[in-house]
Amino acid sequence: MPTDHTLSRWSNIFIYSTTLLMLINLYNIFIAVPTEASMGIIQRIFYFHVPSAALAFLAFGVTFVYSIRFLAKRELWYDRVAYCSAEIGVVFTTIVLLTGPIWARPVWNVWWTWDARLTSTLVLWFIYVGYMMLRSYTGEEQRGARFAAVFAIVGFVDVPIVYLANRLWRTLHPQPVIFGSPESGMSPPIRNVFLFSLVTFLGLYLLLLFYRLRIERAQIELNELKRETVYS
Amino acid sequence: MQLLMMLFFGFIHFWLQTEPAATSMKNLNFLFAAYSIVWLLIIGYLFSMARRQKKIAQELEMVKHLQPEAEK
Repeated sequence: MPTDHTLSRWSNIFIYSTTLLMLINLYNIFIAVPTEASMGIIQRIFYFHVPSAALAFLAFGVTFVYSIRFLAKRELWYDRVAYCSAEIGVVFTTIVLLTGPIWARPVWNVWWTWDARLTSTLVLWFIYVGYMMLRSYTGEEQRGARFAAVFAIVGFVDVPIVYLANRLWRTLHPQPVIFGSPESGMSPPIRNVFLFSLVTFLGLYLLLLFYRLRIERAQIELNELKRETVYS
Repeated sequence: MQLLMMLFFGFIHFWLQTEPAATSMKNLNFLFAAYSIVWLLIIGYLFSMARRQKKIAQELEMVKHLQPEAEK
């Protein structure tokens, strides 16, 4: 388990760097980047919507990896890291599920449609909210952590389904512009702002993760102290 | 300082290979709603973490106070 000093140091690094990056990012999105021709100003949601989805996938990927590590080593810290990352992943997925319909309403004329991409994203949200509830209600024992770890590993199956949904099935959701067909792609200004936004959101994810891990570490310390006080 | 800011933003425009565009205000309310929700969620999450941290810190203090008494 890392020390509080290590977690605190990384939290501080990411607070300052993410704040600076986010300010530049907001300038890029609202001032610098040109308005997209077909959708107009509403397209600027893209610069938060897609990076949020990408970081949600990353967060659940971290949960997946640390759940496997926990099952292999049975160290409760790995379970805690998995849980914290899942929590942040749920926040990012919530952003995706709320900004998506707001973007969809003026463009598709509907708030929601049960197409593959949207439905699988909603399922993803439910899976990891379920994981968090399962982990919270089964307590801190190894057994509860094992159940949750298996649940998180199986639940991760939905992540590639969400990613590939608009390639495998006919959806209302736009076709991929990143690693898509040869005709797809973004103009350089839009691509550059998008990549910058992605890096900013990565910084935000790491900031939230390290801050959350500090809280988790403090909780572990508190529980140990309580146990010592009760038994002494 | 002003010169530095001008150079910095000038670089951003050069990098993006564009001039800042005049934009249509259509659907601005949707854009505003989307970004408001994003910030509310992120700030709300940060606040909830800060509250949890404060609560744990208070409990830690309390337990540390109890410890010397328990050792007696």
